[in-house]
Amino acid sequence: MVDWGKALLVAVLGLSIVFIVLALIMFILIIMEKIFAPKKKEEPKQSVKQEVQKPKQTSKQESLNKKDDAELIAVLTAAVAACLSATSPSGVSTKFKIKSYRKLGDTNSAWNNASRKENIYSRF
Amino acid sequence: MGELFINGITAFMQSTGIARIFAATEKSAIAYAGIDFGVIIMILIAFVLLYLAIVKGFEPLLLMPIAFGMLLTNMPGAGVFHGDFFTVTEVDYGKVLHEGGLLDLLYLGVKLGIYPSLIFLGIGAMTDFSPLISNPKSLLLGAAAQLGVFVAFLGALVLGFTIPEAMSIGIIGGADGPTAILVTKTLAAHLLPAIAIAAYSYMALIPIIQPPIMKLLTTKEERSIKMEQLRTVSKTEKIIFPIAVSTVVALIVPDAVPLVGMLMLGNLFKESGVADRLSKTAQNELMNIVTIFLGTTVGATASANTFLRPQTIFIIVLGLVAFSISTSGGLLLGKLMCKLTKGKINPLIGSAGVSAVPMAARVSQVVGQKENPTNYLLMHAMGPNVAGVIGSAVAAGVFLTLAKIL
Repeated sequence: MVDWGKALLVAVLGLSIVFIVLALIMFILIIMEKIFAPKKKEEPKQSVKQEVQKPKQTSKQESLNKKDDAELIAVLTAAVAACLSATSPSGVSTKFKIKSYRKLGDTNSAWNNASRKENIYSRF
Repeated sequence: MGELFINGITAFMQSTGIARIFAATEKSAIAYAGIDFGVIIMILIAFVLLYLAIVKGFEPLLLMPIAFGMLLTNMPGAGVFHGDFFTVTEVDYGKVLHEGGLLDLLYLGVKLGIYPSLIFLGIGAMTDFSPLISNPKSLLLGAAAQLGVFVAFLGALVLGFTIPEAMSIGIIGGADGPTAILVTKTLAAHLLPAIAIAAYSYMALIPIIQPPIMKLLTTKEERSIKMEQLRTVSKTEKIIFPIAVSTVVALIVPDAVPLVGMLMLGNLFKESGVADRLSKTAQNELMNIVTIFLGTTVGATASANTFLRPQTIFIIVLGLVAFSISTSGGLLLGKLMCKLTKGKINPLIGSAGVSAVPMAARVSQVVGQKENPTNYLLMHAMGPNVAGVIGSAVAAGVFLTLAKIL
């Protein structure tokens, strides 16, 4: 017959020791970071901020200068039209008008993402 | 003259494996009408495992030697391995050396705990701990993902295993083959083949087992969280890390030293930059040689008598339970950390706390990217992943210690 008191002790004590040992290593790493981590420079931080602000400005500009990019709207209209006629079974497209557009999500280009993915998945 | 000829042929016929299959003895596990079905079933299982390894690509580097070892050991009369030499309490090493077959001699490396430690040396030389050093909180996720080890331990006791057996079964939840082998050969050598095969099969099945649990326990918003880029780690930190970890672990859990010590020595070879040749040998030639020896001999322990028992099925089921609970443990602590940091941590990296490197981290990456195609969690998940290796080695050390003192 199994001694359940002993079994529970093994389980509780075991998990606790694992946590304690790994937490200790964590504290050592935190202390080590304070002493040995390469010091961050102020300049790169500012440049990052500027980079973040830039896209915002451009998106505002885009919405302001809507009338200027007729070519882009033409391309978008064509793409939507192609997509709609492909999905409707009769092949007759519904009428629509592009009122506004905005870039979604990440600022990385599709090419950039594709190459990153290929790189990751080819290694693992 | 003619009689001698016939006698010779008859004697040869009787010595063949085919004749031995039809001459089942009392020792045979499953025998019917004089036919040793145990041997036939074991050979078929070896074929299936070979198929899974070669065609399906399930951990082929390990499963193939294991399956072939299994095939060789079950060939009647070949005598390459004698399980009964090693299952006794006091192993007679003189007898092993005098009468042992090829695999008996190679098995000494398993029995004496040499191979798992040497494999850890190689893993250490291959592992980059910088994602862990730059995000120390990962260590807690690596610890939480050991939950399954202890739950499966209790589960095994419910199913009627003894405490040392239950410890060996529980360690499957650490998702680490060498660790499971080291614990099992010490505490419950007769379960070695079942546990080793369960551990390695589940490691190969991680991409199938983990994603449903990950989706169940996390919300869409949590899965699409993007994490801040990790800081760069200095060379000094990378060199001090293995030395500090070995010291801390050795002082608290001395029984974990064979694994953690070798893991960190391998890593020091790599990071010190002055022992490039040793590092390359540890991660290539030595690792490959040991893998061949370990795989074939662990497979060789799978004879019909030790493998074709109801316990094997229990072990396989408990292994799956251990694995799933470990995954959940990591995810749940990941969720908690996500709440505490107000959404800075993606809980998906928690499931990588099971130590199968790098498959578990890759699963986190794939599941995260499904939700948000521009999200790259791989390096963030590598932190808990390598922490899991340390975590399961510590859990193994704890089991070995508690088995001795309680």
